[in-house]
Amino acid sequence: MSARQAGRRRFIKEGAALAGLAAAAPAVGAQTLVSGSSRTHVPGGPHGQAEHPLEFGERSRFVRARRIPITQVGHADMHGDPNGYDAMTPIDQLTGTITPADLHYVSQHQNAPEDIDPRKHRLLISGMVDRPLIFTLDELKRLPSVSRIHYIECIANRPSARDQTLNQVCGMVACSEWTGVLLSVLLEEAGVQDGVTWVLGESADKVGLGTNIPFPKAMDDVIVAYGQNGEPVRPHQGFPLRLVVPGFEGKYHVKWLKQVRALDRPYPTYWEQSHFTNYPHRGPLSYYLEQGPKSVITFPAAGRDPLERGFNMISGLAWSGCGAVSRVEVSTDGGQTWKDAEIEGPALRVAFTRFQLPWTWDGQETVLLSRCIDDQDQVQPTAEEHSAFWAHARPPHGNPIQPWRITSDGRIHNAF
Amino acid sequence: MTGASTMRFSLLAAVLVLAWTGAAEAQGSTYGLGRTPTDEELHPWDEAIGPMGEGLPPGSGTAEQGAVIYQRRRCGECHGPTGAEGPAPRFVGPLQMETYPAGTAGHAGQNFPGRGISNFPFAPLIWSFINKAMPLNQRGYLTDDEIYSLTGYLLYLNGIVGETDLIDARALREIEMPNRDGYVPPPPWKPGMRKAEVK
Ligand code: HEC
Repeated sequence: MSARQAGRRRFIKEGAALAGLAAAAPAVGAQTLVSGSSRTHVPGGPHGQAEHPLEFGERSRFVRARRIPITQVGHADMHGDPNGYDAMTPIDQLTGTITPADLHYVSQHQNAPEDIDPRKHRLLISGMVDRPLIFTLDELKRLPSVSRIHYIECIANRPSARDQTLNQVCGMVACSEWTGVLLSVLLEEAGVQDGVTWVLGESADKVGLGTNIPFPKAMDDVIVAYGQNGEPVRPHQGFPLRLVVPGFEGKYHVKWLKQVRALDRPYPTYWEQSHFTNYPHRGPLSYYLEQGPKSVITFPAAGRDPLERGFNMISGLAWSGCGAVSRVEVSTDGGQTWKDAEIEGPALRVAFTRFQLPWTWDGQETVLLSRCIDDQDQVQPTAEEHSAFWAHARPPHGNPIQPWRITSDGRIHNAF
Repeated sequence: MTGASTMRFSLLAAVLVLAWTGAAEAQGSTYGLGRTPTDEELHPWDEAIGPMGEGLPPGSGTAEQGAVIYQRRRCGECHGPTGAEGPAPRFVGPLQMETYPAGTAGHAGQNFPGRGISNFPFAPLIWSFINKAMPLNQRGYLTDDEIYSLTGYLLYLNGIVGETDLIDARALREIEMPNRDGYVPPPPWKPGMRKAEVK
């Protein structure tokens, strides 16, 4: 047996003992997965059983904050994977700019590993480097760290005329504070050789998914994250390590990260060599990296109770994959006139930015719109401009302006 | 040379050596954390295979042998007895475009790129995916030779190789896949690049 095969068998044995890899994997709801915990798990209970009710803080029983599974679309989007699971962030329930980790959207194919023991997990820096390095989680935590707030948005987060609620229109996005080591620090430790143009990030998931990231981006602001919103990254978000590639489509943010390989050309991965390049009418759609400026009004919005006449503070979220939000304009008359919304708090780079605009509704039918302008002077496009830009009726990534129609009975409809 | 000067000379050499390794260390590592992986650690953990077969291990097989392994390793339980039945991705046939079923919110009637061996633009990536992922939930179950044979068998089912052709790293690298042009290399990127330029 070669070293390769011997190592491979040992890895399988340990992996199987560790994770029960041979067992069929049910779609595991994040709520029942408390990794590394010796607590008894109560099926259906949000966090398992506590010895004292104050051991962890539950939400009020009057608050029903849950991810929203996309059951119908789920199967087709999973391209036939029966265990695939997509669930949206309930963005109608969010306040401020941070998404609780247990509500962060998930898009999971067959691939989620059952349980990764952080003591056994390793990160390998390999490829065109002077010396490949293997890190334990503890070693990574001893290196200088950063904590940065960034959104992550699924490539599929695009509005459709069929969507009936805010969450359906825009639920595949979330924003967290990510803590970890800059990938540039690790690459510098390994000594990147001349000629490196891409890095490949690979997952320790069940099907070895991965993605290629341009080397300048890898050296710029990519984080190897072990923390999310003040706690270890949760299992469904990639415990114990995930890549955060600020502003790039969701699929670049490799979960369960195990290897970063420095390369002089991309190594097309399973999804990149098929679905992400073979999209109908390829051309400009073939490979898209950064996301453009985007915003959505989250109140009032479809899926909520009918609007009351009188004063209402319009509120929403804006972000851009290319930088910070510099301005958000809101129209309360279907786009005839626009007003600058107030930006709440600091507008951070590649992060959710909350905006609001005071408004008194007179009970007349109208359409509400918002558009984001980022610090690169890019303006969020209309649906028509968006389709024209990508030369496609329904481009794979969507940041067009989202209209909400309010009828005189106060009901709110998706007018996309 | 006197004893004293020999001593001085070797001291100087030691200082020089120290200074030199110090410089090398500083260039390679600032923090001295992380460790050089052993071969045994590297190989199961590093499974990256390039489009031109970079990283493919030694070994070989044939489609003929692959047909037997396909039965023995029960690939058919998910992919169908002849690879054409599913429910997991079908192996046989031309470039597949699939259509979202009616009643699928937001997508009904739209096409999306499907699967199929002939969709792979580079043959080494078939080897790579079987190696990393198959049979599902049992990664690492197959030997390198078995993977060469299975890759050969799936290519043979699509008329891309002959039943007894030797399939090894070189053969996979040299296969001209029908969807070779389906892979569009990603554009170059620089920090602060705007979306319009990325397009
Ligand atoms: C338990 C079910 C199961 C078994 C057994 C199984 N597969 Fe798969 N296979 C799948 C699924 C599901 C996918 C799609 C994976 C995904 O979407 O990530 C797949 C995908 C593939 C693909 C990629 C196909 C494409 O067109 O994209 C190949 C190649 C493959 N399997 C080969 C094999 C081989 C060879 C065997 C036997 C050694 C095998 N599979 C056994 C379920 C299975």
